[in-house]
Amino acid sequence: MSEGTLRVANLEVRGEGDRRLLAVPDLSITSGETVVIEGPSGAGKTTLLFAIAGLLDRAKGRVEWDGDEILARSARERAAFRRERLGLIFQEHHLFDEVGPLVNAGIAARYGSKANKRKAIVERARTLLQQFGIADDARSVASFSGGERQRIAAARALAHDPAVILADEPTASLDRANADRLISDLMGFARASGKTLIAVSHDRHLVEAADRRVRIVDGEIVSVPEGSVS
Amino acid sequence: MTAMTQWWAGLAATTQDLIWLGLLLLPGAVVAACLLTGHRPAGLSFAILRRFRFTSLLFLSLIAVSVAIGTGLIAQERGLREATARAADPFDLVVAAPGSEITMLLAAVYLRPSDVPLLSGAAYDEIARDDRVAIAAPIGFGDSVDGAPVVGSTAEFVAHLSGNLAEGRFFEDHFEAIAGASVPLSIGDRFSPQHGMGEADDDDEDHAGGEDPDHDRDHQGEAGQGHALEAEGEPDHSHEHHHAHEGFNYTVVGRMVPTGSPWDKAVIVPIEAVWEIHGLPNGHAPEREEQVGPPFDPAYFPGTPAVLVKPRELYQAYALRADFQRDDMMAFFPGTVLSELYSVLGDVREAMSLMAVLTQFLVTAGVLAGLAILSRLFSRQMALLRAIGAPTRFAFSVIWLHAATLILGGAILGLGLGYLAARAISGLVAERTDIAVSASIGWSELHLVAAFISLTLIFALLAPLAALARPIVKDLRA
Repeated sequence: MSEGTLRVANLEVRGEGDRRLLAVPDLSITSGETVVIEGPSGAGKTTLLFAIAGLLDRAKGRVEWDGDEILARSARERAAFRRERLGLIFQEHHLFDEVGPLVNAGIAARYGSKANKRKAIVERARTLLQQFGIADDARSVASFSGGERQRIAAARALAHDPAVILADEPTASLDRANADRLISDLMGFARASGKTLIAVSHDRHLVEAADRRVRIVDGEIVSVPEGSVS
Repeated sequence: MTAMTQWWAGLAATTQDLIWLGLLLLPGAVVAACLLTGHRPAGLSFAILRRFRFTSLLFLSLIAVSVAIGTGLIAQERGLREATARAADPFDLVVAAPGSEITMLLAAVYLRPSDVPLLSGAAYDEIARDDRVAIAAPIGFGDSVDGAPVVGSTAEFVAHLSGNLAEGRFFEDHFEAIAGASVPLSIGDRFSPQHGMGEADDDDEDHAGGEDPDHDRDHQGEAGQGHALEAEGEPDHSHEHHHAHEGFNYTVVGRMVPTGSPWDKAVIVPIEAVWEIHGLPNGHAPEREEQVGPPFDPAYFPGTPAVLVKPRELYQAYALRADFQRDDMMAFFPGTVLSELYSVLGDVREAMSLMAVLTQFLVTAGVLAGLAILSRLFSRQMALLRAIGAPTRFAFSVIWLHAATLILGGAILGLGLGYLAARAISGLVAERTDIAVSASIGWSELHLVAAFISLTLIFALLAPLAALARPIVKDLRA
């Protein structure tokens, strides 16, 4: 199986008071595909994204990445899985404002155990920053614009060369120009490197740029564009 | 004795202290090694430090001040104890009339005279004639020159106290004097002593209306009492304070080497002169009235507050003390009295040390609680780290290292501040007591700080525990 293939079966997430937040009987995404999850606010889009990232302790069912089921694993094992295989981008960039772009983008090098791997992460972070038009200087990221900061966060998600990119509303806090720049960078990168990209977004530009979209309403997938979701 | 105990006892004191230091630091080092090995959290910890620089500086200062109080207090106490013991070193055995050993210790060793009964000539003669006694030096005080006490004694006592003189010679005439190392008098200077401890420049003021209780007591007390040696029937000068002994002039002929004791600020003169100035017999029969120093004639010996005794052999000191400890006189080792004093004050010292340590831990507990609260402010970054799969140990170490930096920085700064504070207080104490106190940071302070560092580094684990107990998703969405 190619890297970055997702298969979800009987996924259910319940919240406080046992209220059902999400129910996905079946969802498959193939390796290298770019998919946008859309839907109204509170529909369960981010919950689905977090569930397939292994961030929700209360998710039930099966989430298989390349055949490896992750929900039954311990929190530590799921963290190790994310560390190796996933690159996450959030609506808020959550950068360490007082340090420079390279420290932020190469953050994974700080907990990598092997020296050559750490070096590779830093080199890759440097390349990505250049690719995304971010000057690699000693300035703290607090002095960068919102769009630049989100691109630094994207570089951080990709620096350890994950097979899958998961993005939660990556353009929500950006103006149009910066949003389009980020969409272009992400899509271009994912397609050029064969990465699977799954993004939660309301952004029509991002939806239109994706290979396909999955619409969620009230915690359920309600429409599946032809030929892509089984 | 087990092999381990023997091995330990065979080690040099410095080696033992070093091992203790290592053992005390070990828990903290183990925590650091467990958290930091293989990870590089420093860049992110320092980012947090920079973001909250003022709060961090405040926390660091609080830790530094609390460590400084603890170490400074202990260093100062030890310095004072060592200095007072050092000052008492030359005084092997003190024999005096029965009374308070502490009062006599303060008077004879630290030159803080107060009313004490006098030893008679017969008593002195008995001590001086004892075969086991090498030096039996009577002392007489009560006069001063420019605030420096003028103490009567013998040349051999000066030699015992100072060894060789720094300059000049020992006195050979009744009105020759030897200045202490810090007395601002030069060889050849002449001075007229004042009664009491007043400053010469203050004479007018003193005479105009100042009070001198000692002086009053000297003249009002019963015969044979009082630290100043006065002839019975001498006119009452209670309205004339610190009067000069006009017509009596000493010439400085020598200077002692520094002793680190109040004697450095004293001027030692032949005791015969002190008696003569106060209208008393000078300790020698009329046909030998020009004699300087022992032997003294009991019939012409006016009395002395104390006799400073040096035995010929050290072991004889115990027998001498036993023999002179009786109804009509008391004998004591200044070192023993000091030890008793220290043991009485020991409880106070321990209580103070305990309070200092408690203050240290309370301040640090407050700081760590503050850090735990502060960690909520960067909970989103911590959630991000955990979300992207950073090992929990790494996220933990980022927060812990922030706290550890403040603790280590505060402790090191506190050691420095404690040292400076101890030195400053030593200077003040030396100024007031004339005892050369030199407080420095020693092994006990280093051990205290090492224990403090280790314990607080362990307690510092609470801050990341509080931060990482928070749900990732909730903080990511916050």
